[in-house]
Amino acid sequence: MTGLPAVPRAQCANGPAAARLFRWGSPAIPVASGTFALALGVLVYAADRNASSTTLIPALAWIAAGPLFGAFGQWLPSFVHPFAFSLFTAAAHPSTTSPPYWACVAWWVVNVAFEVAQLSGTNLRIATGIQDVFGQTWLTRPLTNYVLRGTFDVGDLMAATAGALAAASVLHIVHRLGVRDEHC
Amino acid sequence: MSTASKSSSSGCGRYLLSTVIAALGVVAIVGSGGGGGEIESMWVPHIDPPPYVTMSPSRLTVEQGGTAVFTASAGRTLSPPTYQWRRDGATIAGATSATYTLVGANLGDDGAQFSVEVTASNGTATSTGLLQVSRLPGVVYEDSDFPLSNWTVAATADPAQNGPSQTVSRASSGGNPGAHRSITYEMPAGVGSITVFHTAASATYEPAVQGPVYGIDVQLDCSEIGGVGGAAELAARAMIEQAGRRFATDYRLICVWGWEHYSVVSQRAEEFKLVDGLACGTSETCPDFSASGAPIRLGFLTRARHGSSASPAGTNSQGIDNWKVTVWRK
Repeated sequence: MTGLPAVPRAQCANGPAAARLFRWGSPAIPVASGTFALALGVLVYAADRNASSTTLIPALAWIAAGPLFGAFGQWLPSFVHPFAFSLFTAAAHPSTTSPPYWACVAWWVVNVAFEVAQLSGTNLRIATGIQDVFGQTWLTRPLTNYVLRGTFDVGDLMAATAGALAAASVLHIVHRLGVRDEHC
Repeated sequence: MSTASKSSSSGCGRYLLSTVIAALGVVAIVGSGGGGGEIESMWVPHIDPPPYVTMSPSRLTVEQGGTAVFTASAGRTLSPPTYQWRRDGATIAGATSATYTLVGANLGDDGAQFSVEVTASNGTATSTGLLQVSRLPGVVYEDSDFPLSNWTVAATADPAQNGPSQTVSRASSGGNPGAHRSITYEMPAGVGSITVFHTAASATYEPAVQGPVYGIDVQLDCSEIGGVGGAAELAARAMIEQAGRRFATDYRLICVWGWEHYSVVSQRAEEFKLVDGLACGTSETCPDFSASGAPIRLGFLTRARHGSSASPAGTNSQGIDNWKVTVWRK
């Protein structure tokens, strides 16, 4: 293959120690990274957030003795969402030619759209539209709650951007190392 | 299993997996609560958009001794709404239905501000309206037969060269009911519009002679009555002419198949916007409804528009019927 640096055999990590499951280029690495990040995000809600501020994750009293993440806990979930789900989506679409960066772009767009939907004024129009079109159902209630009660924060937009970029970086590195291993 | 079918089933599974991941991702975002205030449970609504109410009309002029009727239309109420009417902020005893009727309005009622408050389980909403009482009867101009000799027509097209064109005729049937005025537009392909000004030849109000204008009511019926090729947006609005300029209300009716009623009431001078003619000077009252104002010719305007560059060429016909204007005097 042209364009790839010649890699001395000694530098290849494809020996017996590198289990086949976790070889570079395998979807397992993005999945593991995403799962780890998601677990951190869940921990923010479990430990640092009030139980009533989330619909899915109850606060755990035994762990909520004090804030674990400090100021980072405020934006960590916004970082984690695009990071983890970009990696999961990329893992579902393995590619030998180039990493599926489109997954990062797609999840960045989704996260930004949901954040912008919380903008004052916009949120009421969206909530009203949802309610007028679909009525009140178990599916629309959480959505209207989210846009009406959530807080628009530029910091969340920046965190989402950072999360998508971090996911793209992981995909890039994993892909490069995977290509190198192919040549070992 | 062949290679092709294996590849197809793994592709299908991959997209199924992506869909599941996408759904989980959205659930994770929404379930996170958006970093905001309290949300007690996923299943319970916390903030319902409040109800709304619209009072119709928002301004009404009646002759002294006449009957004023305001109607409240409430929406998005999650429980049966209750109504309370107020006059200049004071509760009107017993006025608790969706309609408020004032019988025998007198000059003391002129300028009274009425409001209605609608209450439902998800909140309250208020709408206000103004009552104007004229000491004189309104001057009425109307036409539902539309002989061509009764009307003059002018049009402006965009683009002016090779743009849309129009033909106006009288149809003896198919109106609402009976005869109606028919406007047929030839619309070339692409973006373009044509505005047709219809002025009633004998409907001229002279403020210097008949008195200053308090407000103008305009009603008409409109329908799309035929079309071949590309569909144009057809609209109608109230229009007046004064001193070589044409003015129209902002409110317009988009005409579709089937007759629909257009009504604007108690329109003041400032609600008629210049749509054709020289720009108004800064020191000029434009249009001028005072006793020193020039004669006001009454009519309506119709418009056909292609909003998209992809619109194909076509012919569209619009019908107008039951035109009626009431000029209220101070």
